[in-house]
Amino acid sequence: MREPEGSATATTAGHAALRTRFGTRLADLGGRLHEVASLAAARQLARELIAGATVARWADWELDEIVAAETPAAEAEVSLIRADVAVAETGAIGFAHGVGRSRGAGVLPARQIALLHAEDLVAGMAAALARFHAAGARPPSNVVFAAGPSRTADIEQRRIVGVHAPRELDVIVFAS
Amino acid sequence: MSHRVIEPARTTPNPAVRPNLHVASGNWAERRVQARQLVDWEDWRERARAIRADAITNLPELLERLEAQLVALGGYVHHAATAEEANARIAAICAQRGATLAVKAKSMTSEETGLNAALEAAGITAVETDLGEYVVQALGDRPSHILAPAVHLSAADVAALFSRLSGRAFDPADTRALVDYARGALRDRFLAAEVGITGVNLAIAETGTLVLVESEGNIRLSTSMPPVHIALMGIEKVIRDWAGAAHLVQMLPLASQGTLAAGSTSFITGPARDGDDGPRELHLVLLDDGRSALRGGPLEEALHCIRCGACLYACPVYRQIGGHGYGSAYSGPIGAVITPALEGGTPASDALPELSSLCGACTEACPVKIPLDDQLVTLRAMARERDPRRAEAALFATWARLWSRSGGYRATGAAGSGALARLWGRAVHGSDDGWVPRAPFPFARWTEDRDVRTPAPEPFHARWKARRDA
Repeated sequence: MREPEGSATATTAGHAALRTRFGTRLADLGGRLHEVASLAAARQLARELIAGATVARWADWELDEIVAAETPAAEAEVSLIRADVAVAETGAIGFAHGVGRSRGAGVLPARQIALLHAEDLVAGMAAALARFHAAGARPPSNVVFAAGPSRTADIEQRRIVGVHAPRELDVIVFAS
Repeated sequence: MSHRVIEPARTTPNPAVRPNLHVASGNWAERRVQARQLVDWEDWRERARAIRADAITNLPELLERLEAQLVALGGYVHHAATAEEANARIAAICAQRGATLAVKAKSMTSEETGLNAALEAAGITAVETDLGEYVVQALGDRPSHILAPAVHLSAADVAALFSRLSGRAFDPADTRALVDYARGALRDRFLAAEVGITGVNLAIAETGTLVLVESEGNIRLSTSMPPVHIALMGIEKVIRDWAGAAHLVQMLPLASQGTLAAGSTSFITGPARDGDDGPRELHLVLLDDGRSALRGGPLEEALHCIRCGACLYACPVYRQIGGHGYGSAYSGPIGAVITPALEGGTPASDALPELSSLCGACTEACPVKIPLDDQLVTLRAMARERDPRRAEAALFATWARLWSRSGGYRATGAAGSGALARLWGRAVHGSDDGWVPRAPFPFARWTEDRDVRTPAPEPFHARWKARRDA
């Protein structure tokens, strides 16, 4: 999907189309997309979604001011992370693990809430991977693209809630 | 001793297989239609084929690059010429670290090498963590599909198993409860295991990155929680660069399930760095075991396979007999090609290319355009070179000579088929809908696995003649 170039209006329309497309794909995969106008609104919505559940979070500053206490990943009910990128064509969010971004906190809890900056939504996978890999540079040690919550079709081919990774996914897109 | 061929091919499946397989292949056919609407399918296939062809043509160079990059990142690279070497190396890595419990995320390559049995013999428990594989392992069974290992089992089978394991009753209709039980049981293993063992879907030579594709999240857990990650990879899985990876990580789920993204796709570049909570040690075991010998030969393109499972669902023979019918780790058309190709000709594996009607549905379904039906014919020819079966060949040659001329056909065919039809007519009574579900001797074997049409009362030639003369 190519965005028209030139005018700011066309770019804004192109971005709205990307968000719509991403939201549709994510919904097909069983996830939920929320669009809010600011980081403050994203934090407020995250607090409402968490509603007193225990949380394991990443250290990203955008995730500050949402929960007062943290719970170890293996016991937490909610995983609170920041996505580095989202792919409109596939409905997947992409994120790098690393210092302050524990793999366990990103995968063990049953529910996941991911904050995403609106500018980090891209059309396709090639553009998304370019965020993590520039020629000659070393990619992060672990990058994951997660498309919707975990699913399995291993019992009689019925597609049901998955076994291992988060089984509910809310993506909150905030504009700056 | 052949390790890939586990038992002789058989065509009578367990009773649950066919309904499940028919649902699975029906689902797949629907998803295939969706996939065609998402992308320019033929253009995507050609790009995928080109990426894989480049990889196999330049295999030594790309493997060297992959190894150099991975070592520079602090990873370890091991070369295994045979399955036994690969298993021994993995067991040794576990033993050196004092590991007795390993979690495994679905890897067909480890099925090929028989890794679980080798680890068990070395005192290491390897727990399969993909739901289907977990069920299959707990039952002491084998996977029957590359991607849907438990497709041959019913929900009742799974409920009975979990009831036995847990001592509490499970309702087969409540699949959510079954999944919840497996989640809890496996979670403890993930947190306790000292080693995580996975396969590899692609390896990017450019940066030494391993790419793993899954739907459930067990690969993410296996490569996150244990302090050591061992990845077992057939050498053919390497590709040149990230641009190729961007295409293939979409093509793989598109071909197998009709979506552009798998549940999770992990890009792993070396062991954990700077205090990240991932595995501190990363080992890549590169398995050859017959693969490099295929390069430059008539079966080279079989190395392009990305293990999507599409040719299995597309195959009318697979749909009838199921994966276990092939008696080998890899089933379906691709199994019937790579098993004998890698074995280099054993009587058991030479029988596999016969499990095909040569209809070409596999070739059409293949996302990397492997000419599977041509390769099946090539393998049949190779098998006949090894075992000429002179009497059979002479019989077919005589038959061909007789029936390729109308005179010869009239003299023998009409009389022969007339006699057969009379015998059949006396022995067999079809049901009213025109099908024969079970025929008596001497036709009984024929109807063990299939229904046949009740024969026409009169041969076609006779009816045609009567019509023409009327």
